[in-house]
Parts: sequence; structure tokens; C-alpha cells
Amino acid sequence: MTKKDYVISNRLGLHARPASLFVKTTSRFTSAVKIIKDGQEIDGKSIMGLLMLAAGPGTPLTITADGPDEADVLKALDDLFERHFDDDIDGD
Amino acid sequence: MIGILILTHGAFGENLLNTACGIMHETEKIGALNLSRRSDFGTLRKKVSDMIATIGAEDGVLVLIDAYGGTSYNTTLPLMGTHRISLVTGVNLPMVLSALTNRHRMALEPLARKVSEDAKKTISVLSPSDIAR
Repeated sequence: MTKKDYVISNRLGLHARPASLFVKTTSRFTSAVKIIKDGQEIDGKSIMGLLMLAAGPGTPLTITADGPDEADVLKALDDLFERHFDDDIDGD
Repeated sequence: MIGILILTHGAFGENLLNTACGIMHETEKIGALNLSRRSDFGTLRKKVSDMIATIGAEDGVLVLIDAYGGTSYNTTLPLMGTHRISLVTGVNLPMVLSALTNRHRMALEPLARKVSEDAKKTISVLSPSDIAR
């Protein structure tokens, strides 16, 4: 299992569109992905799980990936976080 | 793939579908109908039946309805005997997002249960203490 800490860096937080992008990214891989926020753990391939985290800007998250392509998942997520989820000012 | 059909009073189903599809970037095997116009059930039922055929989903169609007991509900319920559909009432945005996400990896009946559970989970009463979160 690989584990990494992230901080939500886009200005509108993990709203619907970034959450959709996150799930589309993690769903490309076979590894199980978990997101942990304040001790709450959710499935990183569930858009509802992500929305229910209500993760606003600056929220620290721990993400774990467990499976044959776990390093690739986290690499893809690194890229997403660096790109701020391709987010713009019109958040949902 | 499972198709998705939203049936509502007024145009909000179409707007809801457009919003959800804009978020998820999905356009395949989806549809929405406004069933609030004054027509007999036979006419409305044919409209729904034709739309199910147009969506043409080989794995069935998940029909999301606004109000339990409303026109959409009464129109569609009898079609369950003749069409491969599942009905879920109380449609909202999280329900549609859940349907669009999970339809690629679930069968029709489990998908119907899943979207219902997901939609319920997102209904909350917030209190001032939630601001600190």
C-alpha cells in the first residue's frame, strides 16, 4: 500500500466538477483508493463519497492506493492536484 | 451500458440532466422528459416508451422520477411489466451524478438501490457547529 498527504489547493474546494475528475482518474486504475479526512475514510472511486467529504480549500487529505498499479494512481493524482483539478472560477 | 431517463413536472429534469452531464462529461444513452402537460396516460405512456426505445440501452434504463405518486410515477409504473426499467423517485443532482458514475460498473437493480442510498445520504440539516468543519 502506498500513502501520501495532499492539501486541496484549488480555490473552490473539492466541488462536483473536481470530484468527478478525481473519480474518473482513480477509476482508470485497478488499485483500491481511499481518502482519509479527519479520521473519516471514503472510497476514492465514489463521487458521492468525495462530495460528502465537503473538502474546502486548504483541507488536508491522506490518500492511500493499494494494488498492482498503486504508484501510477498516486502519480496521476499528483498531476491532478498540481493542475488544481483544471478548476476555474465558475465552481459548482 | 445502462441508460438514464429523467421524468419530471416541468423542464427541471432536462436542466438537471444537462447540469449533471456537464459535470460528468457524459452524453450517451440519456434522456429527460417533461410530463406535466395535460395529456391522457396513454399518450404520456407512449412518449415514455418511445424515449426508452430511443435511448436504446441494451442493459436496461434507470428511470429517475421527481415525485412519488405524481404524473411521471403513474405514467411509468405500468411500463415495468413490459420494459427493462427500474424506477427511483425523488430525483436530485447527487442521484443523477451517482447514476452516471456507477452505471458503467453495476447491473440495473443494484444501481437503482445505490443511487437511492447515495441521494439520501446527501440530504442534511446543517447547524452552526458545521461551520467549524
